[in-house]
Amino acid sequence: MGYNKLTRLFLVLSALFYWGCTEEVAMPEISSSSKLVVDAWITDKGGPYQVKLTRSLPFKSLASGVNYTYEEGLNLIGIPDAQVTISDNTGFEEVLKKEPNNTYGYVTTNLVGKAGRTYYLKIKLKGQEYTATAYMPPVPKIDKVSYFFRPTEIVGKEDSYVPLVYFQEPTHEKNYYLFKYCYQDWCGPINGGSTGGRNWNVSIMNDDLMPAYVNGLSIDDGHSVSGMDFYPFSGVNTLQMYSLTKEGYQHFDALIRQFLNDGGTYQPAPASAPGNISNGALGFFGAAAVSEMKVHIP
Amino acid sequence: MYRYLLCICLGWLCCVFSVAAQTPLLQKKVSLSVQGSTLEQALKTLSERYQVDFSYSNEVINGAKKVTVNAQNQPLSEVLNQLLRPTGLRYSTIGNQIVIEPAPKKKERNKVTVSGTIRDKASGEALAGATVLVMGQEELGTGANAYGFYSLTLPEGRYTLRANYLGYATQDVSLQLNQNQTVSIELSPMAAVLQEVEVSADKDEQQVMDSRGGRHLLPMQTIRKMPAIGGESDAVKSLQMLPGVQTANEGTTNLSVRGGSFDQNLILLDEAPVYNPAHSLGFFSVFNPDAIQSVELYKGGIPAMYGGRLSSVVDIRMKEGNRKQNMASGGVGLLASRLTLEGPTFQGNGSLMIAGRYSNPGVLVNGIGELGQLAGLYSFNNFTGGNEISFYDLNLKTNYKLTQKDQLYFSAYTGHDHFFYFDVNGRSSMDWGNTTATFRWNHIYNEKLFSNATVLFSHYNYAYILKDEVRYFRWTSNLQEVDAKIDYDYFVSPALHLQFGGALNFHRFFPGKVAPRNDQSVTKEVLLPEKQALEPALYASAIHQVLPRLRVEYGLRYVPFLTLGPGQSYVYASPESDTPQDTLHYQSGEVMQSYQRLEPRVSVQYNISEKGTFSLSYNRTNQYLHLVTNSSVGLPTDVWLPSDRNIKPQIADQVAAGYMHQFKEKIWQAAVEVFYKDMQHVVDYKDNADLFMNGQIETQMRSGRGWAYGAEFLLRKEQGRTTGWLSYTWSRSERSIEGVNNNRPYFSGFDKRHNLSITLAHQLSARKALSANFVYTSGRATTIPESVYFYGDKPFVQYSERNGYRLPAYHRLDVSYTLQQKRNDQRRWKGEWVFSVYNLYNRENYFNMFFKQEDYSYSSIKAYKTFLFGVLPSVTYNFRFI
Repeated sequence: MGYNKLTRLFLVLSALFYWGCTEEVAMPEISSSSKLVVDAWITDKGGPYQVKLTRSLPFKSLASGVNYTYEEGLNLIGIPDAQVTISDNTGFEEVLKKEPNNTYGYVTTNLVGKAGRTYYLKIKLKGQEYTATAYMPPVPKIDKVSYFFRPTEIVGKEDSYVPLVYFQEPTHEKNYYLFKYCYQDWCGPINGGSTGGRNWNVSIMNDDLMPAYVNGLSIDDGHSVSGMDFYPFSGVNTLQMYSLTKEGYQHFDALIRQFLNDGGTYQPAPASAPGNISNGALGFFGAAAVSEMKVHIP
Repeated sequence: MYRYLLCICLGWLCCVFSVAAQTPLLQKKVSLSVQGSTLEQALKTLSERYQVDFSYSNEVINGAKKVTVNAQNQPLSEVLNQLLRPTGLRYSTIGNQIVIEPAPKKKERNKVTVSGTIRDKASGEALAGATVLVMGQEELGTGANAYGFYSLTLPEGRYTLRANYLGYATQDVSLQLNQNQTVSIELSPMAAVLQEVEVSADKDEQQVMDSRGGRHLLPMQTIRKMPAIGGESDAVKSLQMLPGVQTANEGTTNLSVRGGSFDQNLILLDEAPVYNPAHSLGFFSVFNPDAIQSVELYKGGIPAMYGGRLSSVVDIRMKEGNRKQNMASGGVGLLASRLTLEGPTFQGNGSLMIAGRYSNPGVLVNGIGELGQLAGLYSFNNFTGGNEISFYDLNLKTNYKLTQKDQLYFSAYTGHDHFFYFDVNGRSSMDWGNTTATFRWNHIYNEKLFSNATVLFSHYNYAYILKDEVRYFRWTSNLQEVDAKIDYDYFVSPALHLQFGGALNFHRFFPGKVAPRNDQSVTKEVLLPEKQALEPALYASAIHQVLPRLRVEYGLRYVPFLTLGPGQSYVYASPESDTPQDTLHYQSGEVMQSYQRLEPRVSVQYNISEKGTFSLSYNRTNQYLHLVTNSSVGLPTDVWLPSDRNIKPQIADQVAAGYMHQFKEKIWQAAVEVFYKDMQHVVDYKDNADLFMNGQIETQMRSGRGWAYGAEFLLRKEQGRTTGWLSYTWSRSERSIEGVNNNRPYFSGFDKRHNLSITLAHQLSARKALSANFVYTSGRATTIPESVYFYGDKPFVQYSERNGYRLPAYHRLDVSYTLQQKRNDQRRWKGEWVFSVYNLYNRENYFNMFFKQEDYSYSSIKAYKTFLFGVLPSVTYNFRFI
């Protein structure tokens, strides 16, 4: 009995007990059209803010995964020839500049995001116009951050210090939050950035279960990609709390679900993330206020 | 007294007549030509010319009308018929004498009723749905009701009754019927017969397949013969082998009947609805095979006494317990251990059955996982121990014969699950369980009228525990149902059996509560408002033998539904709207929303010959309760909700037509049935629906039309050494719902065009048996992406058509071998070993297919396949101790 057969025997036995056996299979062929993808977030932290324009790819083209770097990948599908305008409800308007060193990036010059304002995005591309609107909800101030020690549950993974957040939750309205934990202060944009080697290290939560004063909430309790990662080493890290609109929350919720997709067996049937851009474009235009605090890990 | 004697005389004469009718005397060819002569004269002519003796009283003959006959060389019987027709007289023969007498007026022959109970000979348990035929008059017959009670009203006379029940040897009972009498019939289980008589093609005629179409009865002994995963026979999974029944996912107990979803089946355990029939996320059903007597499935032509779900009724009856002797039975398998105790109680006036089952696969999982890690196997690198998977269930049933006419039954079920499996969800565990209790009182008013009063209770609770030091909360939810029912069986005549009754069901839903588990938790307590509803029902139906060959079952069910306050309901501008425009508040007991519906049910069977039967059925069903589930398997934490202002009741209309044929002395049966089902207000969920603790769940639901159609074929053999069936279904199931799939029609998750199942059992000898299952189905419809895009540094996918892609076909073969202990009547312990292999040729069938970012780096999207079961051997030991 060779090694493989032994493995199979174990898998067979274990299969019985909800193990399942998951293996990679060839991508099926499905034809599709290429669509505009918008990635644009404004915060109240000060600019410049970046708008990335790319296009979607037919599924089959990624059959073997992406074997170029992310930057190379983006450049391959970047859209360099669009006109991008952002304005707000106070009369401010600005045409974004094309970043010179890539094919996809457009940046603001003067815009400074502010909670309570509404922002408008307009993209003109090959005779088509795409628009989106984003309101920036205010975010409560973080009063305090503490942490607790959590020994690991998984063999081979390290123990961690899980941050706990304290703040006054506005009870008269429905609020949605996004928490992000950054190694030192390497935070990156709300929907990306590599935070200490781990991507999408965010969790989202609405206020349904929050009391009026949130007295030490583990930021790991929100909806996230298989739990957040925290860093075992000592130092000063950053905890960010963003305010989201309901739309923004649903958008993040759907994206996180894609990471967790199991084919709809024990989870909802897979679905596309809802966007807010007109004319069939994918992606999202969002605005979020952020509240930050440093965490000192001994 | 006089009348009584007359009756006996007439009865006797009738008998004589029927016998004499065949004698040569009446066949004698005669010629007679008379015109307006007296009857006496005509008879005299015949008597003289052909030496026939007539016997009559002058009084009778003289009053008769004048007769005219012109017959040449015709049988005497024919001539006599012509002669006597205008006179109101009749003839019969006694020996060589022909007696002329006044014809009895119709109905003058007294009708009397024979009634009783049909029971299992070995255990004394009542056999629900057994049939009783009157031999020589095959169109006369009746079916026993759910308590084995039958009633036949017949003219006085001598009869042979033949009782049949699937899996039992046929029993004939001869009786002289001249007054109402009680005749209880006992049938021997086929298995016992097989052991006693060295197996041979059994000539007993067995009424196996229900000619009514749309129904299947599976006795537990048939289910036990089928190979099962881990050797655990499963009443619900065995139904998946029948035509018209599908399951979306292998290995689960979900049933999709004729294109319906898995919450559209009314699953009854001794009349009590079971809301979640799954143990361990659907890998087993909650029904302990040792505690079950039979399972009956209605997928079309649903009788009017059942209602509340759209697609089917699964009527599961618990064993009553042995009325004759104490016994223990049970089994030990890889997955579960079972023990059942049963025996007579109340000095033989009753019986008691207690059955328990316990399973703790979590221990095995951890053991195997740790072993795998020790062995350094790659697949176990990410294994996490500490998994907790266990369940138990308990069944109890007892009955007591209060008087000859009153019988009491009490049955109860409780079962609970605990589930924590790191790989499914590492941070929360789930607990769930059903409890049901049914109290019934059977009363026989007289030989024709039987009633059953029922009070039942069903409770389903589920909890979700977040295992987190800080938030540490417990989400609980439950629902309860209390029903009071009365059902009557009125056996008017052998040709007419009426069933009528009513029910009052009270539902209470408790959709969710989140409570902090200790003082340190930062979770506040949240409560979704309770909901209450009243579901009364009235029904009447008839099983009517309209003509000797034509049987019609027709009925009507009236089902109102009232959602009751206290509570609030939201008003939306449109069904797609997310935020309510207005909130309506209701006081306690106030009717928030009411619906009322009529459900006609008709089923027709026509015997074109002794062997062939056509059937046709139509039924309408309504479903007021909806399971809010978003996964293809369903989770215990799925919430049931009543119809209200925003969630409309589901309605289905189904027509079906079929033909059944029996051949080779009824050893083989073949049936074909086609159906079309149209469903309104079926529910699906919008993309990315958020169902957890959602007080406005209606904003996540979309409703629309569903339809399904198909053709089902069944070939079945129930006698001899080899028994089994082949079932093939061709079907489609589609949905068209506003707000889902861009308003375009799409295939439902259980749409599988071809579905073939073969199940065979072969008795090698009295001790050894072999059985096999083979299943082939087309691939399930699933949703896959059409494109990939980059957003937030990572690739994501864009999905297109819901259920627009087909998984590869599914097939597998299972076999099992049963070896019974050497037969020895002295021995009280009887054991058997069951060796089975699931998925013999190790087909890696798709459980599902999905697309996600590669683990850890998330830098690319890949397609993955999950398969559940490879080749899986198991051993089970079963025993009986008497």
